Amino acid sequence: MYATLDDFIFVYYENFRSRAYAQILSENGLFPRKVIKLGDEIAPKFFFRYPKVSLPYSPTEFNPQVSVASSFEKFGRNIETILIDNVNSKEFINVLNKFDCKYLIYSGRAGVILKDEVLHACEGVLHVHGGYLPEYRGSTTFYYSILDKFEIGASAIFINSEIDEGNIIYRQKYSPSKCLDVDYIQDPMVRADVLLGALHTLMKTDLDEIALRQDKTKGNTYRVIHPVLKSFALRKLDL
Amino acid sequence: MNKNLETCEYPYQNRDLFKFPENYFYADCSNPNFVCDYFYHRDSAIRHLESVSYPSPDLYPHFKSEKTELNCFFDKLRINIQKGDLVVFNKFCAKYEVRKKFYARYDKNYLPLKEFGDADHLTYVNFSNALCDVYEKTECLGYLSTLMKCCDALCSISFGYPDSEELLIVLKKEVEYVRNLR
Repeated sequence: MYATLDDFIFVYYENFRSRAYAQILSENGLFPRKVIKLGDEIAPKFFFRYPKVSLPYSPTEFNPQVSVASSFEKFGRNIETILIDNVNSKEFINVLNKFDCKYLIYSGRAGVILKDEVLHACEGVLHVHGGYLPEYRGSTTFYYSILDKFEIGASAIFINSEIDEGNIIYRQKYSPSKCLDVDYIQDPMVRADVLLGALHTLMKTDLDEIALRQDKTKGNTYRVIHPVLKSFALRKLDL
Repeated sequence: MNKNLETCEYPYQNRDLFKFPENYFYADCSNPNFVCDYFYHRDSAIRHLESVSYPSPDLYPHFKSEKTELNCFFDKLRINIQKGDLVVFNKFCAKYEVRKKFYARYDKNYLPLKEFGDADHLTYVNFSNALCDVYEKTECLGYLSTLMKCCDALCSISFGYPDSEELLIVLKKEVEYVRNLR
């Protein structure tokens, strides 16, 4: 049984990643059944520090200054705003139940781990991790993989209770671009591209056929990179 | 030790990082001298430790602090590391990264026995030694990152002889690893 766009609900906090997701979905004519804004993560002024960019590996330009709502405007459908500070709250689970969510595309705040109760409120929570799995689990893996191999990667997974160990739906490696911000530009763009790949995959293939179970004995779980190492990675990008 | 270091702008100094841990989230490393400050900080720490140390700590065994239970456990883990078994060590790396401290004792399931308080400072030196072992074996930068955080913390407190000798060895290794990455 293939997934359809009607199976997906996109919930997000307004941040760079969510904007990149919305722009790539919109460019490709994809509007999930429901789009729900949970709140703001970034001060609006901050987005205006970053102009529109394009990257060799992404057919879609990314304009950080265009909000999620603006990107989806052309579909003429409303974005619901339900302000929820804690995605692990009963309130959020009630929202998922109310909209009978099958698959959730989740673009949440960094570092927040979803509890089992939330994960069980739908059939799958689709998350794009900023690292090529299973090699790079954990935090700040972009920087580690730049230092290791001068590459970046992202993996779309259905989240489970272990950190970045869910079944892989789609993953991709990329060459990082020099002189281009990592956290606010390259990370969101790469993840958006992988999200698009994952949705296309899910809508063309049976889930049982594509879900790649991770070998937990492979790869490493990384923690927040020491700033001196981060600085080395940034230098490799001439930043 | 920290108050004896020469002045530089390395941000992870000027406070006891065991009492006031650093989480390193969203660290600003935009200062162009950031890496130089790190090396300057470590070189100063090494010079300071050399000034308080004597050539052979084996000549003064009676000065050595008694090893705690967790410290001895890290000795055993270091043997496992040499055999390529990192499973338990990785659990302790995760514990350190979350709390930036160890408890003095853990039960057989590696759950903390909080009533025994926090680990002593020499335990962190041995943990750092184990991180050096793993990094040399795997070249995985995640371990180097944890080692650097632990060294930041160790440099933020005072060490007397002969414990300073142990830390000196770790700091020299850490700096060498980082220099080799440049």
